[in-house]
Parts: sequence; C-alpha cells; structure tokens
Amino acid sequence: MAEETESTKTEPLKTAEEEFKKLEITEEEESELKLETSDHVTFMVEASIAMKFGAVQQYLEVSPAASASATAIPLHNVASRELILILEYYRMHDWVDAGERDLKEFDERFLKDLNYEELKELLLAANYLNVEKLFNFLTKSIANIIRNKDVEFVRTFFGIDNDYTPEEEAAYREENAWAGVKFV
Amino acid sequence: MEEGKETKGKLMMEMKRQRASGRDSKEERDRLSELSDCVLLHIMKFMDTRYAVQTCILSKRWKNLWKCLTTLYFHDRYFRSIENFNKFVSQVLSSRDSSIPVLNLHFCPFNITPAKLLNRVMKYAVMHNVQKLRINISFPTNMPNLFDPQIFSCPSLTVLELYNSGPPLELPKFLQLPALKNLLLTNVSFTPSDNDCAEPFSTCKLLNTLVLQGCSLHKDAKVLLISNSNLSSLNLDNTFQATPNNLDTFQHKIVLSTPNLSSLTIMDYLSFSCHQLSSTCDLSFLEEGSICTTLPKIIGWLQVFTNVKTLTLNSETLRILLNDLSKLPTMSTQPPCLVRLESLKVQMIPWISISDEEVNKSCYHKLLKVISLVSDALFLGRIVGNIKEVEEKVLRGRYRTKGMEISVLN
Repeated sequence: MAEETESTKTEPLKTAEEEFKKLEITEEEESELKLETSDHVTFMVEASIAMKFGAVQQYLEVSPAASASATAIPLHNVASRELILILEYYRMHDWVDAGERDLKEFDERFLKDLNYEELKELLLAANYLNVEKLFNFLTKSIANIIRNKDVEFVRTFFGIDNDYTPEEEAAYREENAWAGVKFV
Repeated sequence: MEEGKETKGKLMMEMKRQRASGRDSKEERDRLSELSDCVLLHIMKFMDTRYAVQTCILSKRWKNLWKCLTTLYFHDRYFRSIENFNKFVSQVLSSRDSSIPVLNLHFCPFNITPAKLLNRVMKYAVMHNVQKLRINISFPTNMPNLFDPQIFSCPSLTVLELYNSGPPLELPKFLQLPALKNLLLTNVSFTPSDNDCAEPFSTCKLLNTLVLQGCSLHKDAKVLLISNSNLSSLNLDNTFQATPNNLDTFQHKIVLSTPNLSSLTIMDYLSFSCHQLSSTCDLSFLEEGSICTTLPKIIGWLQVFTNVKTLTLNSETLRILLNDLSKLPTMSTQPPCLVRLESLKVQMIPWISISDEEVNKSCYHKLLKVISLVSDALFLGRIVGNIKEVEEKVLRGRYRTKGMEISVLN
C-alpha cells in the first residue's frame, strides 16, 4: 500500500519540478520593472504587467531611463497591500491559460475577500494607477453593492456628509418624485 | 534635480504614512472625497438610470451629478406601470444636461409604449451623438409600424443592437451609418433597392460584425445581397423563415459579396436550403466557419466555406452532410474540397447519434473522406482536403492527426 502511494506521488512531483523549471526560464526571459509603494516596499514586476499601469507608462515617458536602471518607480498613492492585490488580479487576468470561467470564479473570490474599506482603498489605488480593467471591475462591483440600498447606506459607503437641511431634502424629494426618489 | 525629486517623494511618503497610521473616519471621508466626479459617474454608469438619478438626494454635490451621465439605461423591469416609466424617460431627457452627449443608450420599454415616446428617445439619441444603442421593441401586431427610421441614418452610431419581437420592422433601403462597426438586427424586413434585390449594408463602410436573427425580405424582394468590403464576421441565425404555406415556393436567397470575411456562422433550424446561399467572391480570408442546422440538403453551403481553416459542425449537421454526400451521384456533382481545413470541431448533441457505420459509409467518397475515430463511444468525422496520410493519436478526447486537429466538444 505504502509503496503504491510512493509511486503515485513521485509522478506529479516530477511534473511539478518540470513546471517549475519552465517557469524559471520564462521568468529569466521577461524583463522586470522595480516599483516602490508609498510604504517603501519595492516590487519587481513583470514589465508586461507594469506597463498596463497608466501611471507607470506616464512615469517612463518623463524619465525613460528608469526602465533600464535600478531606480524604483515611485507609486505615491499606492500602499503595498493594494499593490499586492492589483498584481494578483493582473497576473490572473494575464495568464494565457485562464478560461472565461476561471476568470469569473477568480473575480468573484477576489471581490468576496475584500471588505468595503479595502474595496474603496483599492478603487483609489486603481484610479491613481490608471489601470482600466481593474478600475472597470471595481466601479461595476460598487455599483452592484449600492444599488437598491437605502440612502444612509450609500452616504456611509462614500463618506458623504449630508449637507441638505431636512427641509431642503424633503422639498427636493418632492420635486423629484418622478424619479421615484425614495431610496426606501 | 534627482535629489529634489527624492526629497519630495519622501515627504509625500511621510505624509502618507502618517495618514495610514492615524486613519480615522474623518480622514477616510476626506480620502474618499478625493474620488473625482468622473469616478463617481463611472460607478453610476453601471447602474440603471433610475438608481443613478436617485443619487441626487445624497448631498448637494450629488444633486446634479447624474445629469452628466453619458450612459442611459431605461428598462421597464424597474417600473411598476407604463405611466411611471414613460414619465421617467421624458423627465430624464428634459432634465439632464443637454450639452453632454449620450454615448450609450439602452432602451427597453414596455410593449405598449407609444411610438411618440420611442421616436422622441431616438431623436434625442441621434442629436446627442449616440455611439452605442441597444433597443428592444415590440409593437403589437395590430398597430401600424410607426417607428421613425431616423436612427438608421445616424452619423455617430458605432454599435446598434435592435431586438424586435413584434411583426417585422421594415428597414430603409440603405443604412446610412458611416461609423457603424457592429450591427445586430432581430426580426427586421429588408426593402429592395433595385428590382427584387435588397442591399442595405453596402453604405456602412466600417461595418465589421453583422448578426441577423430571424430577418426576412420584403414581399417584393427575392435576394438579400450582403455587400460590404470591410465585413469580417457574419452570423446568420434563422434568417429567412418560410412559413408552412410558402415552403414550396420559397425562393429567397442570400448572396455574399464580402471579400474580407473571416468568420461565417450559420444557425438554421427553419427553412434555408442549399441553393439559397452563395457568394460572388471567393472569400479567400475565411478562417472560421460554423454550421448548426437540422435541414436537409446543405452540401451546397460548403461551396461558400471552401477556404475555412476551422470548421465547427454539430453532430446533427455532420449527419446531414454525410447523408447528402452518400446521395451524390458519383463524380457528376463534385462536393467541395476544403483544401485549407486544419481543424474540424464536432459538437455532440446527446440525443442525436450517428452510427459508426454511417460515418464509414462516406469513406467511399474520394473527394470528401470522412474517417471515423471511435473512442469511448465518441465518434467524429473528418473531412480531408489535401492531406493523404492520416496519423491517429488519441489524446484525452482530442484527436491529433498530421497537420490537423479534430476535437469533440461536449
């Protein structure tokens, strides 16, 4: 019995090793860019992914030398916690073998693992970095969250101070009754 | 220079660090108010316009924000009555900032929405440079066709999806849509421009993708000429339906004059037959073909697919093709040779089975060999063009042969 498990185990191990070797080769081949987050953490990021960030593109346009040198590209408004998430998202979406269903499952899980605060932080980071795909995904997800919620929920979500006086608000609701302004 | 930059960077990082450490709810609010109107509008873009308009009550900043939305979704499912819906639509049109274009419009009104409102929305969209338009309409059968065709001459339109579930909507002779790239039409009727021939798409110079679902020809027309030098992808989905009454006399034809077509899909479960699809050019760029049908006598269609590299058939279609082939008188009618075919995909329909014998029978045809590979009760056919030698390998349900791959899709 024990022998059998041994033999079945070695096989996948071997393939994993081969896979790892393959990965190493591709990693060697791909050029990388050094990014530094606001909390002073440096990341070596595949150029193919980093160049999807509008902020990185813009930085390299101004100082093209940064792509070759060891100087890190500073990301002033992105903390390491957010960058890790952003890289996780882009590595998955960049993965050639990921099918539509894999991506859908990944997106769902990705969103589920974020609380509202993290979601908003990530939106700010995505907006600053100018990453289109993730930005669209986040804004769409937020739209789904606030839809059908009551007005106080949405105010809290966005951190909105209600600057209407109660009278103004009542009058405004009346005026816009056609839009079904209730927010229940 | 460099030093100055670094100091500035460090300073900003310091500030950020302080922020991160002592982030209270007030600061959180400040940070979120950093979200520009642009970002907020981007969020609202994904909401039904009804919910987007309701954000006006949040605060004074939000009061007029929705008026700058460039995407409008009007959907009947969010309204309890037609009156509320109609009132809402007209109020949005008259209250929004009229200097802002409407780039995307999705209009899905109640079935009994008056043509007046529909036409007003269309006129508004045209005047506000609409780029993407999706409309679902359904005029009741007893109502005359009052749809104002001005949307079919909108210069800014790039994507048009028209879903009509009422009686066929008559289109103008030509679609004057110079910027249009994607077009989907459901249940429309084409009007002849010249004798008995309708040629509505030749004026859409940028058209790339065309989908026709359940479309028909005006009673005076016999031919639909799809003539467009830019068109790359064409999908004919149950277009041209004969009724049981006119089945025998049904003569409508589709003629392709699309030299740059790279993908052609035909889904037909109704009444199209082999004499009714032809092409005036050799479609030399056609890479992908797909046929799903239950109709007999479709071998003639293959003429159009001569240059495909990938062909997808469902098992029913394959069976029909094999049946057609077996009936061909030897050598008098030559079935087309798919000389460039690299991959044949067969979608298995569980309840439609072809016996191996049936598949093997067709092997006797010299020009179109169909070789069956049997494994795990799966079988598939292979149409061979210029490949003589066949090497068979079974790889997890995928069959790789020399220079050609056959896959079975379940």
